[in-house]
Amino acid sequence: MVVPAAGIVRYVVDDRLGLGNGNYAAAGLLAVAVLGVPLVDRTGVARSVWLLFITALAPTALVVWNNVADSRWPGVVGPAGVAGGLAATVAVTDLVGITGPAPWFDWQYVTSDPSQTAADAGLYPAIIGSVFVIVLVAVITLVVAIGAAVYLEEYAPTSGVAGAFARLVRINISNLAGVPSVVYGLLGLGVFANLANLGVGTVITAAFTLSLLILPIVIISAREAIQSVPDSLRQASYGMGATRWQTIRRVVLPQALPGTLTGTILALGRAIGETAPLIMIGVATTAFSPPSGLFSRTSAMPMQVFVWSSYPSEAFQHGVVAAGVVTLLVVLLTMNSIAILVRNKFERETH
Amino acid sequence: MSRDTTQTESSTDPTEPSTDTAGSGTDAADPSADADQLVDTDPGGGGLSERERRETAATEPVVTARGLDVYYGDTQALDDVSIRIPANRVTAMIGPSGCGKSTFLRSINRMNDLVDIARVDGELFFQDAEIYADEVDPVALRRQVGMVFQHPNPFPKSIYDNVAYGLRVQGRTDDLDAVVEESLRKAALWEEVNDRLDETATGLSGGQQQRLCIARAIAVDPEVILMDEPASALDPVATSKIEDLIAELAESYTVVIVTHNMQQAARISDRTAVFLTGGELVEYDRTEKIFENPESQRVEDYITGKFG
Ligand SMILES: Nc1ncnc2c1ncn2[C@@H]1O[C@H](COP(=O)(O)OP(=O)(O)OP(=O)(O)O)[C@@H](O)[C@H]1O
Ligand SMILES: [Mg+2]
Repeated sequence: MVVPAAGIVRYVVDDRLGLGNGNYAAAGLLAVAVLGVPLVDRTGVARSVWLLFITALAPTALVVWNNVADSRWPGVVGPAGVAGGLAATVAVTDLVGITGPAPWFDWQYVTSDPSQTAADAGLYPAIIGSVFVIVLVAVITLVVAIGAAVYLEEYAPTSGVAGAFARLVRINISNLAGVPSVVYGLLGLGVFANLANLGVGTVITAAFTLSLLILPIVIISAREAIQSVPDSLRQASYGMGATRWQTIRRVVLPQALPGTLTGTILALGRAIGETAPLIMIGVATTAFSPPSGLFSRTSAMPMQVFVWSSYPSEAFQHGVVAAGVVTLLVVLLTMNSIAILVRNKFERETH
Repeated sequence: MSRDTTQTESSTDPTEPSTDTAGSGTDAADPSADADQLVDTDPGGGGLSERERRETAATEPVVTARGLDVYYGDTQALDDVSIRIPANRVTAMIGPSGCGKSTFLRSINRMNDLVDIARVDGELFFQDAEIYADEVDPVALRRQVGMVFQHPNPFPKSIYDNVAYGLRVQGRTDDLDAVVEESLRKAALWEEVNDRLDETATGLSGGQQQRLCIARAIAVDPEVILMDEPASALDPVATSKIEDLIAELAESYTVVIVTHNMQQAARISDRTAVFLTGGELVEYDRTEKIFENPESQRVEDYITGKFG
């Protein structure tokens, strides 16, 4: 987990920000990670929680910092409002002495394993499982969808038998977007779990199945983004003696990326909440430890929430399940905001 | 007769710095006398005297068309066009809207390949190579035949990256800074943008964008530069800068320029081709001849504004 992150940091620091040598920054991150892990372990809070915490808070802090630095005060109002509101609420409830209902969505909840007793129940393995799967889904979908959309828009023949076939494919991609998710679950079970032998209920099977589910939507948005790149830019590029691939790589894709990312973000939101296909491919409803690798069995947040909702006890019905839904939403919003930050970065660069 | 009308037309046009250039070719019977007078009045700097001198020297054709037809689906855009475009000269294409001037330019660098319904018949040569032969690589061809489009189309990248684009795709990245600067200087844009080369090109004015597109086209040092109404979005000052640039370019490049501005064609070109509706090349000759004494009545009518 840390090594690819170091690679990304190197890239960001080096190429994007131009802040001197990215290798040092990457080495710094590695050092922080290596030194930090024992420290973090001593605090008694699991590593992954720290990771989530850092990835959620660090970008927000960065945005606030940038806004302050550029004196764009409206950009600070939102975060400041949230922080101020929290502080005010705490102050007021303390003053008035209101004791709200005992919160279920708390630190213990996100850091501990599921349990038969409501008070001890936690979502930790499912959170990690879901995040793991969704990150894989994002990577698989982006690569495949951009490839497919580029082929369909820029390379596919437009006339003759081949052209008719390409048209058929286009139409059917749109149709696939409407196929119920259980069907994708069955397909995933048949193709990935059994045929390709990737294992029943494993991270990789879940990732491929959910990727299949959202691919049509992402391909459609990528195609539209590519179509919206003005033809005059392609002509300018060809006129300069660029090959087709150079034109796509240097002109079309940078322009189409923000639109594609928007579609991907929306689709990922759908994928993270899907339950039906996960049931079909045999993802565990309850796991007591987070997945350790691509081929290890996993659980996922919606699965865990689903199974808890059938527990008869009041505490589960009204406390644990609700907290699970809130966690799902928080993780989803966090991932979306990171994705939106990334997209805005691209947008600023190309316009 | 054509002369009178042309002069009237030009003198009513306030945007043209030189009002009598178009008609002055009428005295070409006595070129030496005419030349002195023109050097004084011609703001383009190229000067008709030099132009005429160059005109008399024999020159190899760079682009040769024989019986060229271009179709878009069922509509014919060019009809049996035959033309020899000489090297290191400025050749102007004039004619009413929709008569196929842009189509002709796009056939030369095979940009029509990008239009699915376009079909080309007949012979078209670039130097000795048949442009539409199977073994010709359009990418290689376009590296030698640059193009400036009818509407400015800078990439939404930085000014620097726009000019460097062609060099980068062609892998000629030595000395990039110097070539970018030189190209921007030639396109009369350097002074305006040298302190903001890393800003996005879409923030430039329309005229600046068009000069950027010219800089981008000459940066890769092509043999031929095709310009499709490069000055249609420019003010008189920028236009005259572009015209100076074209005169300068003609010393080392072959320039083919489409224009709707007859005074401009008369001022800057050595030869003029007149296309008329239906995609027919009606007359092609030395510019003075076309403007002063065209063979065809239809051309005369078009030039004097009675038609088109
Ligand atoms: N991509 C295309 N598809 C179909 N028809 C086209 C296409 N491009 C041009 N044409 C047709 O070909 C004819 C010639 O067009 P062209 O653009 O060459 O005219 P033009 O002389 O450049 O006109 P203008 O002076 O207005 O630019 C027109 O009738 C036009 O409708
Ligand atoms: Mg045109």
